[in-house]
Amino acid sequence: MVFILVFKVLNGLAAVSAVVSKGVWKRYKNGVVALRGVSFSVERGKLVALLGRNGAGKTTWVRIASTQLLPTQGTVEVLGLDVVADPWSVRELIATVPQEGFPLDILTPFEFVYSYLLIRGYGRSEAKKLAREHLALLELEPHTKKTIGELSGGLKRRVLVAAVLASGAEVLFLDEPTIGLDPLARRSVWRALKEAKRAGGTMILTTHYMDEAESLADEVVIVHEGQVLFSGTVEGAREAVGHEFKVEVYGDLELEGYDALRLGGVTVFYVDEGEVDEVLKRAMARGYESSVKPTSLEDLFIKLTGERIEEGD
Amino acid sequence: MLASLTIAWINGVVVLRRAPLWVVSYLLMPMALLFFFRVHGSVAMMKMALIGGIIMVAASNGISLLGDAAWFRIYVKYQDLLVATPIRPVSYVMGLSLSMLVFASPGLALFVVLASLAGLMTLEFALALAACTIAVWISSSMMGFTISTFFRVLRHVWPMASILSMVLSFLPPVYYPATVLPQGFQWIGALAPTGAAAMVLHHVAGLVEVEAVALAASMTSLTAYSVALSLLSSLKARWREA
Repeated sequence: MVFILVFKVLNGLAAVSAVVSKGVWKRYKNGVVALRGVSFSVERGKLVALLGRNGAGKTTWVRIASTQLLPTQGTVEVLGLDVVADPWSVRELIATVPQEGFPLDILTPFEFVYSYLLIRGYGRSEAKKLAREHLALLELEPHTKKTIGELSGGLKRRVLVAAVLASGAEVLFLDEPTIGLDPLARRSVWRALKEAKRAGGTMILTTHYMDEAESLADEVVIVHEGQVLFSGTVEGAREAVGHEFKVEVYGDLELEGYDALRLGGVTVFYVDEGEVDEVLKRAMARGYESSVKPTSLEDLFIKLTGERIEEGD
Repeated sequence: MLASLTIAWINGVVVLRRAPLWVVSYLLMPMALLFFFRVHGSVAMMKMALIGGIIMVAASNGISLLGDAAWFRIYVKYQDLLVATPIRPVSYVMGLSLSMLVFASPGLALFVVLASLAGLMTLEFALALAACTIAVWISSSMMGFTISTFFRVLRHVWPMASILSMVLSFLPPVYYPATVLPQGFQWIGALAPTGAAAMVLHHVAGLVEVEAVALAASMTSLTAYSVALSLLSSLKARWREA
């Protein structure tokens, strides 16, 4: 039995792709179809951001990949191991920050991380060392003597991230790890994730913060209504927008020769560098206020879905 | 085993240390009943209240696993965190169940001391008490875990734990003698593990002359509940949803 497990793990470690999702469908008992043939792969040592609005299917996919939920159809392999056929081998290699999860409020941050590591099978001295290191990494040292119940929501979330990073698992699933965190706290989590990535960890992060994806991810997977609309590098995503800049005009405006996209009360023109001045002048001539920004991941999202990612949150 | 002990530590020992008022809270009812039986009843009734107190403390703490398991699964998503680890569902359930025993231990100790002072603690009674308390703890905590798996909304869980605790403590012959039940039908009392434990202990303490059939039914009931509910909770502790 041990030999089989060792073989499976070694076999998995030799795999190039850390995670491979092939045609994953999920239809819940109430008839809701959350995933419609989701396929993408994640290379070892990469951080991939799953981007999408609430209800896009990100969490459903993460729950399937982290062995918490069965797919209706399709497969997910983690380090070469099928999550449906071989969940116990997969569980040795993964750790997850659940969406809307919180650490236990009666414990101190140290007790929570330490106990999580003991449960994962670490020895006491190793667990203590790792817990201290990762609490320091997440800048939680000043709070280690308080109970988690006394901490802010953001700090609680960081405790959870510290525990999962301390696990040293090969593949980490982080389901909206920075939701509810203030900008400084988010950056503290980003630093820790970058550190873990440098150490060779593979991470799959779900988020609807575009800046988070742009700052952290090697690759992005845009999920919308259970389908993958884009999968590729962040640079590739920017290129896929097709233009370097966008001019946002506050009001309804039509300009001949330019395609416009209307989002709420704003008209967006995607343009190249040489066209920026002309669009600005024409907008100004008609009395509209406008601004220029470089295109970003959000623009690809808008281009693909016709909606902003934050809407409805 | 280390995983189970760790869960028992964080959900039992630590909670006991940081939130000791819960001990006072779960002791209020059995202590109030003991007081009432002592003031208004005979010595035999007081002894019955002491036995009832031990059973009630074990059962109410065991059944309160319902709340803890649901809280971990539905609200803080601790179960989701643990699914993506090598821990087995059985170890998780065992750890939670142990934590309930740890939490009940100050109350149990208090009632055991009082029972000794009341002259109940013969060797035979002590052995029967240990066996019955363990069976009630296992049955009620496994029942609590199993029932918790049916809930999707946390708000509905809390009243259920209180209702079950009261039902298990007062409906079966825990605070009253089995002789109250119709002759030849005392075995009905063994339909609940708490009633079964109480009938055995009342009999061993010499407080109630329990029918032989009822006594046999009680011992069978305690064993069957412990085994069946442990198996059922292991099956219901699904690590993966369909």
